[in-house]
Amino acid sequence: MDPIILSTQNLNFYYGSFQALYNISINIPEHHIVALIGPSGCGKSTLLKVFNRMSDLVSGNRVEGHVFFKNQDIFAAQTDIMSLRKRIGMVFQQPNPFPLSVRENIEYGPKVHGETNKERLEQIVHESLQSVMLWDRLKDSLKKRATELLPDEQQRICIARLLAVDPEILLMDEPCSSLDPIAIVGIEDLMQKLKEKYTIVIVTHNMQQAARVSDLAGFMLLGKLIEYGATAQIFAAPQDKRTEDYVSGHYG
Amino acid sequence: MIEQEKWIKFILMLIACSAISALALITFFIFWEGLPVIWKIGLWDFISGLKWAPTKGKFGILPMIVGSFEVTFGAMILGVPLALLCAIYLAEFASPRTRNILKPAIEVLAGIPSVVYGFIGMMVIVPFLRNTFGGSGFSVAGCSIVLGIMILPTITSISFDALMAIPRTYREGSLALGATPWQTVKMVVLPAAKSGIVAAVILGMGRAIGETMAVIMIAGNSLIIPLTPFDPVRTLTSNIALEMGYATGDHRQALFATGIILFVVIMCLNSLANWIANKAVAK
Repeated sequence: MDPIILSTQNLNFYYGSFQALYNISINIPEHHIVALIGPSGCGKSTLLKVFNRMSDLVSGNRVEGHVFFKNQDIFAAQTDIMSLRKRIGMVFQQPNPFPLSVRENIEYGPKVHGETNKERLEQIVHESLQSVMLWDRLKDSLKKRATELLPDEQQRICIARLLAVDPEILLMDEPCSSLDPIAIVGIEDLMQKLKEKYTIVIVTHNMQQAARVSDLAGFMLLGKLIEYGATAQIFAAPQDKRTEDYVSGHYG
Repeated sequence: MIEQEKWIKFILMLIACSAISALALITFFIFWEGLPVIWKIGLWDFISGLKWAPTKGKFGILPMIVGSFEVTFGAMILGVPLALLCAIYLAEFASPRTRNILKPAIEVLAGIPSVVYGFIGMMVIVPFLRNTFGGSGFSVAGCSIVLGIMILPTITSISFDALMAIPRTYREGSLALGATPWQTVKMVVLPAAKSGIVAAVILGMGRAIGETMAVIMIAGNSLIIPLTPFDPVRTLTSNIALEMGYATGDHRQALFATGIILFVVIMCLNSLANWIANKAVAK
């Protein structure tokens, strides 16, 4: 078994008086793709946001329990949130490249973290676009506004933008929900490739997608992690009746 | 029923046209009154003439053109950074509670009559300038300070709207890369809101050029080209307001001609603001 890179212990999360997560304990091993599945409102996106503390942006948020990233509690007082988010990047549901050029989008992360060397930035742009398989298509139009690209290109730019800061974990919040089927296949292939270097946690309510791409899957319902294990087992032989009902399409 | 709809449409159209015809009439009127004297003196002599002596038939408005631009420029230097930082604070950093108190407070500034600004300028700023820098205190600097405050609400609230219109997802994308909130504002939000902010600045500029009463009370109104910020100044607007009461003949027409110049300058600024704002929408 690969070492655990990210884990939670008895994690409870509240929005004001509403409890969104109940007692979640989960271990995420390195270089795996972990899918979080479950019906809308089950807390899977919330859990994802807790992992890089984007949950801090929600007013009235409150956390109990622990989240460990490489044995460091990310909610400890001495945590540097900026560098945490650099190491645990996030891809959003809607592609959200900045309204800047392709090059500026990729350079953005390294620049905010202090990279000023022109040649190094050039190299980062090249490598990042290469990793998301956009380099050949865009190498002559790096000045084009990223917001004018096709939706799946935009999503790839967002992934490239993350890779540029050399993260360790990629959090993906329904990264394919606004893409067409062909583009989805492309992004899923990309995830398989990225798995060699990164750990990926993906939230999806497309069960086929979870079954196709992930190594481990966690089923969530009403803020609780009902079942977590190898994807094949979750889909073929779920232990919990609720998981079985969900993966066989009885609700959700 | 259809018949009635037609009538309503017709009446509404008439009302809409009456507003536009007011503008058309004003335009026609100042050009009608002012053009003959420009024709007589020559446009170039009128706008480049250094001497304004209506009794001797000398009508040169260059000192006032320079004065208007200096006062406006000073107001922009003082007002724009203040207004922008205000807007950035309100849109990006203030809690909803603070915002709900501060934003209306800034907007109240727009509701204070300009004569009150002039009065404050006369009682507070002019004596302060006199005691600190010498001279009379009635000066370009005094006008710029007061106008800088007067244009705050315009620029702040339009820039604020421009900033608020930037999708939240841009900010999230930036923060999720580990950028600080200030880096996010500086590198993503401001560039994205650029067109709206430029339009806000130009509208503020239009207000500053057009302001009359407060300026008359603080400017000193002498007919020279101000060479330092502490020299007295007369602007295009104050020239009209000060002399229209007793002017006749060519003098009166020359004041209308001053109005034409002012009209053209402000029209250009407004069109520029609209053009930039439309460009922002088209994106």
